[in-house]
Amino acid sequence: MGCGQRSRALKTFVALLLISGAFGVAIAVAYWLIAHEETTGTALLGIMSAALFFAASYAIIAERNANLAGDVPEPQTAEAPEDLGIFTTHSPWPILVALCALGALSGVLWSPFLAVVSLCALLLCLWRLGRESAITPGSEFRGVSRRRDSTSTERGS
Amino acid sequence: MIGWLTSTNHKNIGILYIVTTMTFFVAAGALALLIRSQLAFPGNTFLGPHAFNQAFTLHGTAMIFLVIAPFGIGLANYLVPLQIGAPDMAFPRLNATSFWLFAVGGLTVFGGLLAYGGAAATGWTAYVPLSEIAEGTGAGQDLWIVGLTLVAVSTVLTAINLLVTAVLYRAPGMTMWRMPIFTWEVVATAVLILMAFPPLTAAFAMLLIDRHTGGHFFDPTYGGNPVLYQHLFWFFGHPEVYVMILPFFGVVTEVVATFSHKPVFGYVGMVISAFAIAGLSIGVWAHHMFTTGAVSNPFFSAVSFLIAVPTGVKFVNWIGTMWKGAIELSTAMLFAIGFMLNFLIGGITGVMVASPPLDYGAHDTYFIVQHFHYTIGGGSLFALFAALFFWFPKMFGIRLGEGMGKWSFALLFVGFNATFLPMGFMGLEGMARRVYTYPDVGHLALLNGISTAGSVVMAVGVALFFVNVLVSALLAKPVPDNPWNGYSLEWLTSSPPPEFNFHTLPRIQGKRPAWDVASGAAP
Ligand SMILES: [Cu+2]
Repeated sequence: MGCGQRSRALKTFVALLLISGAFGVAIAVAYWLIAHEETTGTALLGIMSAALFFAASYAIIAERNANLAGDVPEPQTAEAPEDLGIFTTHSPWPILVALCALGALSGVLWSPFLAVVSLCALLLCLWRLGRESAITPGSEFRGVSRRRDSTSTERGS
Repeated sequence: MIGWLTSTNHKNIGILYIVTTMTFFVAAGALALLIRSQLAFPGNTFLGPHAFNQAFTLHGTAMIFLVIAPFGIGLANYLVPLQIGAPDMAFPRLNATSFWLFAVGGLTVFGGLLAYGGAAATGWTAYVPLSEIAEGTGAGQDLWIVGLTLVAVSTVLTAINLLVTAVLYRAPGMTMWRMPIFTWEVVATAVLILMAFPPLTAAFAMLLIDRHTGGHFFDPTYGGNPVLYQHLFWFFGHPEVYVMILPFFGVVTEVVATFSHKPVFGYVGMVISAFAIAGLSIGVWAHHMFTTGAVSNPFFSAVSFLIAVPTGVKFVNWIGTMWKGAIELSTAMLFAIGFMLNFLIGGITGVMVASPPLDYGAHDTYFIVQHFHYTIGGGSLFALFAALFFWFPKMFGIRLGEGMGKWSFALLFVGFNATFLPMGFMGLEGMARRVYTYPDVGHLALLNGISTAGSVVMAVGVALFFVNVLVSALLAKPVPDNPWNGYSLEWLTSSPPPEFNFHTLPRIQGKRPAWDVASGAAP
């Protein structure tokens, strides 16, 4: 089967996003014609349509290179999901990020000192989280490139 | 303990979400009982006006932001990777971050109770100018804004995570048009969250700037506009209603199909109607503002009426699924049927108040309170219990007691309708919402008495559910991997599933992999 057939499912998603975007534009036009006002409302609808079109274009670009295992309707072999990559199971940083975010926001209101300290701690935690994510072996998503050769016999390397 | 605090596995995070939301549910339910006690009879002074304001503010805020919506997100966290055959969510650390932002945010909102001047007391909508007045809206209001900002950021992060997972992490053979309806509804919800939540965060930021740094976004004496807050809030607020209902539409679809022992009727219609509802719900926000005189009532009325069409499609499909099916009235199925009956009333009253002439009469009365409780309480909450009974065996490897479960359902169904049906009539007699007491006129005393009695019956039903959980945990009767003969992928793995969900994936050749395996059509 060809590549075009494989990415059909993702195209469905792009189409749904585009239809939603077109719908947003239709609503905005109807609103403009009926309400005769250029208010926040029209601006918000404009933002909504712009966001949807942005998402759709992004999906189109992503889809161009996508060769997803999930889009193959007749997979030849059943595979263990571990093949997609090793996923992290524990990390101390998420909970610390949340606490620092609370500290930073509260600090903005009541204590500049707390705000500065929390913000620094927040950045540190985010940096550590990012680093941990980058160095954990196999934690990156290998699905897309991996699936490229999924029809070949090479396996478990 | 540390394991739970640092876990990034989607199943643990899903369970953390569910446990946290159920805890907030108990707190918000207790507040509801306080509200109903105060309103039990006319002229009551059990709660003073300020305590009453805090009670209904925290009740509404918690139920919406900390119970119903995040329960749907938590359930999606648990189920979406299992339903599409993925080992985990796309970004496990981001997922854990979302959960902790939510938990910390929720506790911050409740932390207002400890603040000088009490918790936020301006309703779950926090309308200006009330929420900008310094007196009476002190630190409690600030904590409310800070807490919900964290919750809003958490929700957006989860939406990105769920969307990426559902699109990119499907197992071989799990094409998008084979995904279970629950996963599809979650995809539509995620798109909706990405559209709706940023304006809320913007509104909160503007509110904080006005309150603390001398801004005048919403202050007309300096050229600001209080109606702008309402626009921003409801541009989020109406879609939020669908963020609270779409995942539960998915739950009901799965439960109805499983216990009718039939495939979902009108699969494509289900998917398209989910996106139609999501799309339409972004264009109706000003139906909450008909009486401001500052919006185009005919436009927002017409678009609001339109939403009844895709919602009707869902009802047709559920009934079509049940039609001539071998219906098994399990507890989950009873809750799903209860959902349909209650949500129908919520939908019909919704069409009524979408008409501006009617809304002018119903605005800010108990008619509105009745309407949205039938959608979110009678709808989403019933589906929430359906989901718990349906997937509890998968999550914990044990089954909840069916007998006790049916008693819970009966008490909740009778209690719910006794509590909220009278509210429509209170509204028609002119009883205003958010006022701590009312005069003894018309039938108000009788109607409020029935309503309060109903709320006690509901509380017993909820308490019985927790007893059920406890008893089931103590008995710990093991269940097979697929106790209900469900059709979707999660039923093909063990209960509870292994760390990365599947040791071996079955060959996925259609929408119903578990039934394919059972019938020998797939290995
Ligand atoms: Cu609405």
